[in-house]
Amino acid sequence: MTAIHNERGAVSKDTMTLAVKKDTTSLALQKEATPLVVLANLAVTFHTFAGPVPAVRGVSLTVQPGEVVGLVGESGCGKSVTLQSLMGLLPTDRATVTVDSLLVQGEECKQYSEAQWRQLRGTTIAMVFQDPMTALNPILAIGTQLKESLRLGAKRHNETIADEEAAALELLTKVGIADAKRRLTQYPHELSGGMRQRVVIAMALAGRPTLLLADEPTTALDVTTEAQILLLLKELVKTEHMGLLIISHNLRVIAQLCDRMSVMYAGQVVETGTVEDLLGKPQHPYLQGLLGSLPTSATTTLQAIGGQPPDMFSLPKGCAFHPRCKQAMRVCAREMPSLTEGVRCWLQAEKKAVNV
Amino acid sequence: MRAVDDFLPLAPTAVATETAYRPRPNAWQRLKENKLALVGLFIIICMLLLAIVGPWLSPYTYADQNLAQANQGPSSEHWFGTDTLGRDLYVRVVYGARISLAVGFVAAAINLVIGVIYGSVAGFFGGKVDRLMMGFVDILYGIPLLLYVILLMVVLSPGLTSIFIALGIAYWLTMARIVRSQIVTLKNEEYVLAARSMGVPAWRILFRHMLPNCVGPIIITMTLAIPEAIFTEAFLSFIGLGVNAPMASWGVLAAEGINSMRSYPFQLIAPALAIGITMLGFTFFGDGLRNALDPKGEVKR
Amino acid sequence: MNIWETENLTKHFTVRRGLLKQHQQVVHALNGVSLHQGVGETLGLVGESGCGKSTFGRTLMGLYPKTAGRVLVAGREITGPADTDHVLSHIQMVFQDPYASLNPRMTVRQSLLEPLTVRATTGTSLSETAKQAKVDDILEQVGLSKAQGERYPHEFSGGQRQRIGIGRALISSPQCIICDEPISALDVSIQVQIVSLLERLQAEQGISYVFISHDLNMVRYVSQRIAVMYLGGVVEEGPTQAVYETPLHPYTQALIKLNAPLAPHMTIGPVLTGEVPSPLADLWGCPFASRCPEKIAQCEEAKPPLVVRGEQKVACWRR
Repeated sequence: MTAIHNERGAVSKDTMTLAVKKDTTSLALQKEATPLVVLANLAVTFHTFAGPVPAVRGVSLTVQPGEVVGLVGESGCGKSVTLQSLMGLLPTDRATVTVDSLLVQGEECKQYSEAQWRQLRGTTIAMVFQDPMTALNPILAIGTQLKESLRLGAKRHNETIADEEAAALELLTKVGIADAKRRLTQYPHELSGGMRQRVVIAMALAGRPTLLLADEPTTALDVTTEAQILLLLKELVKTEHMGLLIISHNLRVIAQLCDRMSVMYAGQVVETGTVEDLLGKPQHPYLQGLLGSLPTSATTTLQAIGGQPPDMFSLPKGCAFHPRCKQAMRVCAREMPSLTEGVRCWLQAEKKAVNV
Repeated sequence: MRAVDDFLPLAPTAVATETAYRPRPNAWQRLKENKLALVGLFIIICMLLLAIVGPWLSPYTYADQNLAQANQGPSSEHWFGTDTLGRDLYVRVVYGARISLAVGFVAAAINLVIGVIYGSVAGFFGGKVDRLMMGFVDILYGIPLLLYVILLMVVLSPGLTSIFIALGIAYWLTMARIVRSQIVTLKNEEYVLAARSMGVPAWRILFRHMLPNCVGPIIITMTLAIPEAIFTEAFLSFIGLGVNAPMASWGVLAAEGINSMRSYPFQLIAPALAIGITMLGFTFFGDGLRNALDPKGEVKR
Repeated sequence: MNIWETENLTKHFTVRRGLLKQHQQVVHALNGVSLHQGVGETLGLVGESGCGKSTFGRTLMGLYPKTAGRVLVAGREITGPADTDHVLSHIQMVFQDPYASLNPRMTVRQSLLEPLTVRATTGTSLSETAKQAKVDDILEQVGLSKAQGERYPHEFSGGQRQRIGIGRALISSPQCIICDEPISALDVSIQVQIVSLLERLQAEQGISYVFISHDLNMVRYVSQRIAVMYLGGVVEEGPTQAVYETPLHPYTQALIKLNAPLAPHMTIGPVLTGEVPSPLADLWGCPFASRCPEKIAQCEEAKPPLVVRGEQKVACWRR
């Protein structure tokens, strides 16, 4: 295990020097730009028959223009709920949402009404969903749906589109669909999965959003198609200078696309930082476990994380991960660790105590 | 400064690996949340009780005539008043409840037996069998109920028997369709495939794996079919195709009441209210059940 | 000795379309697949969705009637439903979706008991107490407690449900278990637990697995031999190590590159351009020709046969 870690460390060092260079250039850009979104201390509790479910427990995140941020975690860790809250999509009648601050392009949105959110959706923030089949209306032609998105976008920007057909064609070409003219008249079921996801992305781009949210955009697709969509997203971030916040349970997707990432467990961020740091030198035992669960070669021994995923109805006291953690200490079962220097783990405090 | 004790390894005994046992809120708990459904259930129980013990609470029977006391308004002696022949309306309404509820439950029984079996056989075997069986159902659907009843009148005399037979022909069709579509969906469920992969015989797959999983829709269809049948009976009786005099069903009572609506409105109001309240009761309860049994309705609203 | 063997196994589904179901179309789900499995071996079946890997498992088990070709199980040729019992006593299946593959209205114990009560070869001769003891034994083997046996599937997490699914396959004491995407519906941390369970059972009882998955890395980890499928046919087959070190088919090569070890900012790709042909179409040439970077004229004219190249077999005109 340690040998592998060293190997990984070595690899990441090389890439890190490159990344540092890149960071300095992008930092210069970022200084002037306001962050696209700043979320501070979001908490969401759903009320169900079986009792309250604390789906999100204090999540903060920031996305800068031109930056790709990844949110990793297993099912039920609260990553989708976090994403939905950024679009004002949470059902307020059966969920309690508290947030310290939610800035979208510098503007406070936490008190926004549904009508105000509607102004933001599609034009400032747009979402790409997991299943392209359900995100498209099966009885309308691609062109009709695209044009509708374009009209909506234009209306919100107080513009008019002279030639909708041409605009739709341009959008389809932008997302890499060849033979766009014919595609406009086709229906969703006539397209392959990858093609459909491209159309969904095109529709998300119709309102020229500055921030794109993607909820598991490639999970429903095959690996070969996944590569195409990831490449497209990467290109779009560069050419449109958008921010992209992507959710995935697949670390490979995160590694390929993201600049920074946050790992979520039981509704909390347990580790956050640059992709180089987190994949190269994971600090939190959960992330270490996740990386150890990936078979990288035929000879590695897989390091399983024991136990069951957390029961969100009755979370353990202290650190939510401690019942599954191999390095759990007494304090872990008593007190919840805070997110210090990007890691939410008592082992960090222990290291410091030992070093002093 | 943290205590040294903090950083000692956690004793493995303290590690709870098993998630707590927490039963999912069941249908009854969800039904209890729905006040309207409880009102419906209360009405149904009241009507049932009334139909069973109601006639004994009054000294009269449904056929006792007393022309001297004809067309009396509600009083302590005749709670709902009397009709043109001096019969006690309370007893007749309560007696009508027996007939109406009997019709309702016969319809439910037909639904359950013929509808469920027919639908599940069609859905389970699929292919040509399915198309043939469902084609037959479609044809029956196309013929109006009134036509059966009138045709039956030619063969049999008007009365409860012909109503039951008419209901028997017509009332399992919806159930058959619903069960069939359920079974067709369930056929593609992985646990049904898994059962096949273990060599479970077909009949066992149908009765052990499929039918228990359509209990929800079956119950719902049944509770919604009952008021429909009650209403149909009332309607048939109202137009003179129902039970024979002196037997009283709500439809007959309403038809009699309408003749003297101007002078003695209570004669119409009593049976009409009985029909209305019972229908509401079953509809509320059926709706509540549908929400309670729908597995997607997990979240509190 | 092979547990099972298929020769040119073919499965076509007929789809009826149109208002009066007058148009018949044939879905070529499996086009002549010849594979075999040795005792105690894990055979990995890899491919994208719709490549026929699941159909192969199900046709092999007789869940779908085969269109053409031969199936031999433990040396006996399978001809029809009469042989079902023979097949099922040798081969069992674990399904992909642990949430859908258990009857929600049966307790775990009832689910596990069912194979014993319905099939003469496995359990009807056993007494009731012996059956119960066997269920207890299986629960323990898959890492569940006796008390958990009395509960219903919805009370378990995905990983635990998959354990129940494995237990249900195991209770018939099969020689081979077909694992149809057994871990793809599970969280990463739970996937390893299930794979470890499968490995432990193999070590203890010498069970063979057909491990069907789209996760190439996991397949490499668990299998000794691997078959790569594309559009209903095997395009490459061989010992796992050989296939990984020297992949011959362009599709296999692409798959392996797409599953390269994790690294920050790793390159995306290679991207295969071109569309996958519809399984409804009658293909003359190589099914991969439309996306192949090394296509030549011959590829569109005739379908390449699966030929032996060293330890491996490959279906490509250019190899």
